Amino acid sequence: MLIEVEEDRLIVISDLHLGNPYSRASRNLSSFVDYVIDGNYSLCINGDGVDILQGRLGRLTQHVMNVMHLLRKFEAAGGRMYYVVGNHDIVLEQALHTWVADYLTPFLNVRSGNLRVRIEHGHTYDAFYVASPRVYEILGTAATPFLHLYPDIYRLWSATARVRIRAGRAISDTPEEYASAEQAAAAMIANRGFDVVVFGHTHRAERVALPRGAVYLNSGNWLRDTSFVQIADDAATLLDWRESGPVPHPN
Amino acid sequence: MKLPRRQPHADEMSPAVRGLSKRIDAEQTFEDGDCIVAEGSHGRAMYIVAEGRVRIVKSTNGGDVTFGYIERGDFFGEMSLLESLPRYAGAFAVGTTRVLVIEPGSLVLRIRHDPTLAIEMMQRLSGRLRLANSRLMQVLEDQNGGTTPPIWESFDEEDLDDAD
Repeated sequence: MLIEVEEDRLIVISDLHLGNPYSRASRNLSSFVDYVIDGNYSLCINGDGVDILQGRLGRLTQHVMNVMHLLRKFEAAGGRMYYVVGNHDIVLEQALHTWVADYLTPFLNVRSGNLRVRIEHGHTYDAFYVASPRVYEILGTAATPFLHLYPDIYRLWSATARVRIRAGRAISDTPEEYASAEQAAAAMIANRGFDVVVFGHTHRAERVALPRGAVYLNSGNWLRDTSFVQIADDAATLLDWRESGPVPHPN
Repeated sequence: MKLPRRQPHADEMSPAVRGLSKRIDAEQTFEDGDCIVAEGSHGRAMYIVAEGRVRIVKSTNGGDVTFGYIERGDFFGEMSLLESLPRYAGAFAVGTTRVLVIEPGSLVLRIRHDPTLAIEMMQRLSGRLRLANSRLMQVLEDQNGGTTPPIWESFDEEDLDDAD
């Protein structure tokens, strides 16, 4: 299991949800992979690259074939790819290791110049997931019909964050100074010697300053959006991808 | 394995902590050259280097030997925490050094909140064991002209008791 790596230039994306009928990832990644290759970056997929719970076999095959083609192109150009396992693709761990990434891991500790960066999907800090992964999975599958009614339903999920955080605080002992369990977890991890902590999972790209100059970044999602974290030159930046190139993320 | 006699009190003072949420993040700061743990002392905590650097020193008949340096993010003191034995080596701050203090009672809580710490600990312990094994093999090969006797063949708990 590889968890300690060094990378001068690394890009982190998460939550592609390939196979989900509403995932735009395979389409949006086409020009993005050229940017990653041209910039001589390594690539980290920070969990939930594929979606078994809400996916359809036909779409999964089509999406994976498209993305595999892009990843082969990336590897042929000398790119190195890491895959951090998320809650949606735990069951595919063996297949992902065989077909997608040489380096499959539960989390990564990256040394990049003077930065120490932790990259982790983040589902193990989600109080609802930890309380019962099975119930979480059942609810995720049960939500699929609503996805057909409104593909951006996860935005509604994000809109209910305040209520969920209050409920989650009751069962997860989240300290008052943090807005969510994920932010509190990021602060706890940063406090043992990391400058930057990158999670995915919530689908909400964000940048939060932590004590002692550390930073929590959430890489957002490629299900419907195109946010990513770029690590280079002793800095970690939250960006959005456009066909014309990267732009700063509003959060 | 025979246990050592209970010490009347711990040699090392635990940092003051307040409340459950602070319990898993107790920390101490040391200045350059300060002794964090003394060889042979009876502390129970392990330490994670949050800032700075730590030098690990073992006293021998030929004088002090520096085992190595513990960098930011790495840990030390786990042998005493896991085995309840006196400190095998001493640890000294290099520059201003901040450490997180993990005591046996808070270790399980810490791992529950921060499960990747357990994987990092296991991986580093595995790496240190591999390094110790390879050095032992080198010594044995040097002593036996290129052939090595089976090291683990007769190893069991009785050997540990006899060693006491």
